[in-house]
Parts: sequence; C-alpha cells; structure tokens
Amino acid sequence: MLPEWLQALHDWQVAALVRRSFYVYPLLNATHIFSLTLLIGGILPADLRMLGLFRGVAAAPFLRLTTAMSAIGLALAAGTGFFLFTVQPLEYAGNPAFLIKISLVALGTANALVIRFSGAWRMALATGEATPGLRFAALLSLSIWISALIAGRWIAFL
Amino acid sequence: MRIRHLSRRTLIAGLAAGALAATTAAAHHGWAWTEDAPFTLTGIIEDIYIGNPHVTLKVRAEDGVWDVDLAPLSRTLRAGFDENAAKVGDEVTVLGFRSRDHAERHMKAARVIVNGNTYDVYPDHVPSI
Repeated sequence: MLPEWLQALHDWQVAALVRRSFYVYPLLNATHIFSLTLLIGGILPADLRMLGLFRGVAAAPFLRLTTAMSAIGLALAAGTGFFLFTVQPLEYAGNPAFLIKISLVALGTANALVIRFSGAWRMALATGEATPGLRFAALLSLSIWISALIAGRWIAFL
Repeated sequence: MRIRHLSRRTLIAGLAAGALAATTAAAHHGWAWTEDAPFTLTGIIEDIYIGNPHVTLKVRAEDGVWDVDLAPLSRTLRAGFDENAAKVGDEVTVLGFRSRDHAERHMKAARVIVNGNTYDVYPDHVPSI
C-alpha cells in the first residue's frame, strides 16, 4: 500500500521535472536551506528566552516575532521538502536518517503546538516568566530541532 | 556580569555546533570516504537512476550487489552518460574508489565503461592504470 503510493509519487509528472531539472532542484534545495535558517533561527532564540536568557528583552514581542518566523520557516521547509522527496520517494522512505528526521519534525511540531496553546505560554507573554514546565518544553524543543537538522543532513550520507 | 555569562554560553554552544558540523563533513560526500587506491568493479546493471541530486547504479558482481555513485546529474550528462548509455542487464565496468568501510559494497565512479563506450564522470579522478 505504502510502496504503491510512493511509486505513484515517483511517476508524477512534477517529480519527473524536478528529477531532471538543472535549475528547479538546486533552487528547491537552496529554498529548503533558507527555510531552515528561518525555522532554527527563530526557534533557537525563542527557546533560549524561555530558558531564561535575554531577560532584558521584553518577552511578548520577542516570542511573537521569533515563533512567527520559525512557523513560516517550518511551512516553507515542509513544502520544499515534499518536492525534494518526490525525486526518489522509495529511496528516502527506506533511509533511516530520513525516517528519524521526519519523526523528529513531527515531534517538534507537536511540542511547539503544545507550548503555543498552553497557559504557561500566555503567562510567559504576560509576565516574561517561564514556568518549569515551559522551560522543560523549551529545552525539548531546542534538542529536537537541532537533532532534526543533523538527521536531515545525514540523509545524504547513508 | 550577565553579558560575560552569556558570552561564555554562546561560545560553548558555538563550539558544540562546530564539532557536530565537523563530524558530518567526514561522512559520504566528496572523496574523503573512499580509499586512495583505485578500484575496478565489473558486473551486471540491476538498476539505473538518472536524476538529481546524483546519478547512481546498482551493479551485481560476484560478491553481491554494489551501490555505485556517479557524479551529480548535470556533470554525468555532460560526460555523455544518459538514458541511452546503458540499460538494466548490460555488463558494466566501473573504475573508481571503494568505500573505506569494506563492510559496505559502495563505491564512487570516476569512469564508466558500458556497451563499448567510456564515460569519464570525474576526468580528474580517473586512475591511471
């Protein structure tokens, strides 16, 4: 069932175009990396702020800006990543680094949503203080996204 | 005090990131993962992938199926190796360099010889035999 779906994706005309293009694939790749700079570059300072660094910076505008940037980065990374995946879907689906990376991205996204809709988040925006639970979630976020980045880079080396 | 404390943490984070980057760079791209001595593989083509990010072959030899990395798509096509060069079932000889890890049947090609034609995907790396 899954291999059939992957084969259908492989046979898709757009996938064939990306596979053979001299410009589309490198540009997709560059955009994917660009979106990672937004994602990591946004989530890293947000997590560090929740962990107690940059206390001199007002929490609410800082966290709103950094998390918005990282959300845009995540959406763009998922979009470009999908097209990069279509080039060799069966290969990537069997690549352990890819599977670990996708799991980490799902975990990181779930963690970010839990943080975003928590009472501790609203309190942090209002008071600038993070509860121990929020700090733990921030530390988790930091570890997950950096691990996802490393696992993602590792796909090319297996 | 706070600034000094922060800069020390930043330094540690930077060093950790640098160490991770160095570890990653040591793996499979480029030529660092291959042996210095040339290697020749002869076998039957089981699979051909012509596309981004790079072209690959699966070649069945006496000791099993080998993964053969050619060059990136544009470079491989420039060398003349395209869909018409070979098909599954053709006998192929690949000159290049095998992985330092002999547990894996994985090599990087410099020259591919198939159907009487020679394709130098990495002319600068073709071993002189």
